[in-house]
Amino acid sequence: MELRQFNGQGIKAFRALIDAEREKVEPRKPALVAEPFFLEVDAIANDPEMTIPVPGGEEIDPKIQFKDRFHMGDYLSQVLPSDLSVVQHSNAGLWAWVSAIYLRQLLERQKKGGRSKLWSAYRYIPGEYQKFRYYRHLAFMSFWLRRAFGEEVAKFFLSRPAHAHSDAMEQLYTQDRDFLASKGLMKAAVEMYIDPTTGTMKRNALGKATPGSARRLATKIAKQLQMNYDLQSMDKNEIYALLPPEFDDWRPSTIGA
Amino acid sequence: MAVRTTFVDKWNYTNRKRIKQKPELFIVEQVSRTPNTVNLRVQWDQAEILKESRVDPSIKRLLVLDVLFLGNTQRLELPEGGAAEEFVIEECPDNAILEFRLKLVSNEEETRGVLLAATSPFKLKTGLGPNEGSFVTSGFFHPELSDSLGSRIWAVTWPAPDAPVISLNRSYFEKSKDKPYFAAHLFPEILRAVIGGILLRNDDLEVIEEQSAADEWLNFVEQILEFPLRGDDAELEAGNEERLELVEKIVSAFADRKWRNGNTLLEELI
Repeated sequence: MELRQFNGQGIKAFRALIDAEREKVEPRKPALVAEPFFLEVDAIANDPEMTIPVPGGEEIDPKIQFKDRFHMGDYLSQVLPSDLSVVQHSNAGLWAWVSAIYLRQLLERQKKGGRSKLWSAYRYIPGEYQKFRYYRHLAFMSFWLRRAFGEEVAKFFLSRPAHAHSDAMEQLYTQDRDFLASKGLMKAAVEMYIDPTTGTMKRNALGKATPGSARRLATKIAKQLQMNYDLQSMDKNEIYALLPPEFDDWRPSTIGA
Repeated sequence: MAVRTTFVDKWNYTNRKRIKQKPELFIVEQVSRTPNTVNLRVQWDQAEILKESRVDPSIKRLLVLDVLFLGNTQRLELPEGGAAEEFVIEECPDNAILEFRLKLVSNEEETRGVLLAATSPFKLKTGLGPNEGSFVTSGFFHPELSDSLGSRIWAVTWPAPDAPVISLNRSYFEKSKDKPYFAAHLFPEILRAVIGGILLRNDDLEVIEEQSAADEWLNFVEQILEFPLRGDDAELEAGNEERLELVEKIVSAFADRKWRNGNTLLEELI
């Protein structure tokens, strides 16, 4: 189908549908929605009165099934226009529309009952930029990590189902100044914490008290190292050389042997 | 480079020096911004930076300005000496808030990559215009004039831990706002209440939302009064006693500072 985005009326209508469901539950619980809700969303996403074509946009496949968030980000980074002004977070019309056409995949389906969990609107409609909220937009962040950081880093954060906000994102992405800013550090993190056979994060990698965990690396060790070293200019092996022994068990055996 | 084999329980263990955010050392200003790019003008004086930071000028080094946004870093290498140059930051969304860090990095073979000196991360004022080392001073003090404070002159309330709201007795304000005693009597005590409230209500200052009221007060304390509360140089204690002691130091620094006509607020009054 043609790549489109919501106009102001479309965003308002999409938000109204979400808010109407969210008002039925307590703020910290998911609203449970079923097929009639999705059909209403489909209707506005396909309504020419509520959408406009995306400048420079081509075709997008609304039927594609995403294996995980990385797949979603990878696909969107291929089919969306390259012009940043069109695809950035502040273009709420685009990101709300993309969320609308893939909404069935962005909501976790209940194991029993067949209904799906609808959370706060900011997961589906970008709001004002807020440092500790913008990264929770499921579709945008999948796209942005793939586009801005490349395959390796994107896999680190996005090896999760399309509907899942990742703990890695919440715990580690927010440490962007110290952690993501160093390519060498990110390469070491991918090597240490991603299981190469499954492509998913190793057990306890996000443990708060686990020695050598990714969480400790991002929230404690990287903060300290970047006070003393220019991590941005260091490669992976130079970073390994700085890490204390608690990281030894996580490192590939060939490194530092 | 020295290999680090143990965790060192000290933040600055390589004796990195601090580059102060002074316009005579460097100025960063936003010239223009498009949906995709930011044009920056950077002016610097490396000799002054070395002198102020007490870094040995014979060490081989690089002076770099890192620009951080949405997890990205773009590095501007500033040539030896001093100059003023314009740089274009590409692929920068128009709602991204830029953070900067100026660094002197060792380029000696034995110590390559070690930071010799650096600023704490800093931001520019929003909008166009000169931003001297990000001195964010404009208009963060927005008291609400109140008719319901009774006999009280002012009060601070906290709808959220990062949202102090200052109420001022309207009658008192209208009668006193242009008198020297107004600032001398009120400002230090309001500062004490607000900063004390922020430090005791927020264990981790790093997660305070940008551009919130608390963020603006912290910027003021960090950049004008020069108490690093967040970032690299912050050595903020966790205990309440220690934080209250710090609040006293901040209020003293505020009271001791020459604000107008080369006078402290008290000198202006008496």
